[in-house]
Amino acid sequence: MAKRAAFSNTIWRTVVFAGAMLATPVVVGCGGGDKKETTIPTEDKAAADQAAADKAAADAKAADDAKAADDAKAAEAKAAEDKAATEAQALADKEAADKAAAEEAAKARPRANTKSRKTGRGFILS
Amino acid sequence: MEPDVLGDIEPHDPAARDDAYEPTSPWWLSGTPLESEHHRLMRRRTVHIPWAETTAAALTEPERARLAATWMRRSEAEYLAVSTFSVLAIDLVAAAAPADVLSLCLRAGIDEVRHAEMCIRMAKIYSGTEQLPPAGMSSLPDDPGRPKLHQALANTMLVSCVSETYATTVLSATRDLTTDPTAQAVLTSIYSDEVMHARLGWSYLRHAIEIGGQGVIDAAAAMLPRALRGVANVVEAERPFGEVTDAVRTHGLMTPAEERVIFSTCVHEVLVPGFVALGIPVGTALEDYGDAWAHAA
Repeated sequence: MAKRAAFSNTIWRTVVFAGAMLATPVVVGCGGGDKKETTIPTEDKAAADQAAADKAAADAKAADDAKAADDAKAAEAKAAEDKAATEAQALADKEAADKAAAEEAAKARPRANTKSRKTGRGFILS
Repeated sequence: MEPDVLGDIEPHDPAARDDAYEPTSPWWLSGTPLESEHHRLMRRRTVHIPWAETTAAALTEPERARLAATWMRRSEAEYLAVSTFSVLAIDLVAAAAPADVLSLCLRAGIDEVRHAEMCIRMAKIYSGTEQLPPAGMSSLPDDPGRPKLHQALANTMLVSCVSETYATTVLSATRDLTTDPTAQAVLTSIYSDEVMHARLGWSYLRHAIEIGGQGVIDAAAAMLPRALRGVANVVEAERPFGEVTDAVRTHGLMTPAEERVIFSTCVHEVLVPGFVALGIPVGTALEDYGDAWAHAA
């Protein structure tokens, strides 16, 4: 680029270069965007499934040995399941409400539509 | 100490005050206890204005009329800019802008109040009458269909990156021609504020690109021609009646033809290189405001 005029050079350095921090490279979108959900690797998932199966077998054996305890556990498990289902539903309801609120907020105008007004542009020369 | 406006000016020294401050336009104040706090805010500036050193008396009556009209129009523009930064602050808050961006945006509005006061006092120096700027309210683009970050960024780009950056270039060039001590100090004071008003935009643009990615770049690219056209409309607008004589130029005026060249230079040497450095497509900006436009007056 050709040599800048003196005033351009000053504004370039003091306003644009300093303000936009052009001495360091721009990293587009480094702080934003949707974060991806954590995924479970396949091998880990198979191991987890196997462990769950082992635990179920052990639980069944324990049930054979102590039916009374098994009944109590079953009741407890059902209660826990019901509770989890209730909590899951509440969470889903809350997420739906939050999403609706966010959508509503996105629709709401931060200010009135003012197409007929002038736009102030700061200092004018003459 | 007066800053060197042609060197590395420090836009603001938070601790600096004008110890010789006097109320700038007392006829414009409310007559309430708010005035003392207003003066405290206005005193916080680094450039002292030597109001009594004006050389207006050496001008002819038509020259004074020309200058009065221009400084009055400047006061209107500065007054309108108060609401511009207020509206911009709303967009920035809606977009969850960082605290430093908000505080500087709101302070810019206060700076514009001070500028408007100085401009109507300059108008009084040349006209002898105490006028007030007309009421007005600024409008900025308001598109309900786009994310608030994009709207805040686009309007910051319009107001700050383009309009205020151009203001700094034209103020710097105008001040070069100005020898009247009062006018020169006023231009210096306004310039020192405008540097920070413009820098605010470039910093927020960088911040927005880094958090918002390609969508922000696209929003900025879409706003660029509109922002440039908006300033060009001001440059192309009709001016007050009266010749810009050599004596008038020493009180802080350029001709419209000179201002065209400055805007074109600003687009080519400051604005476009800045946007390109941030990865923002500039379309036909260089062609639109090239030599043909600069010398069309």
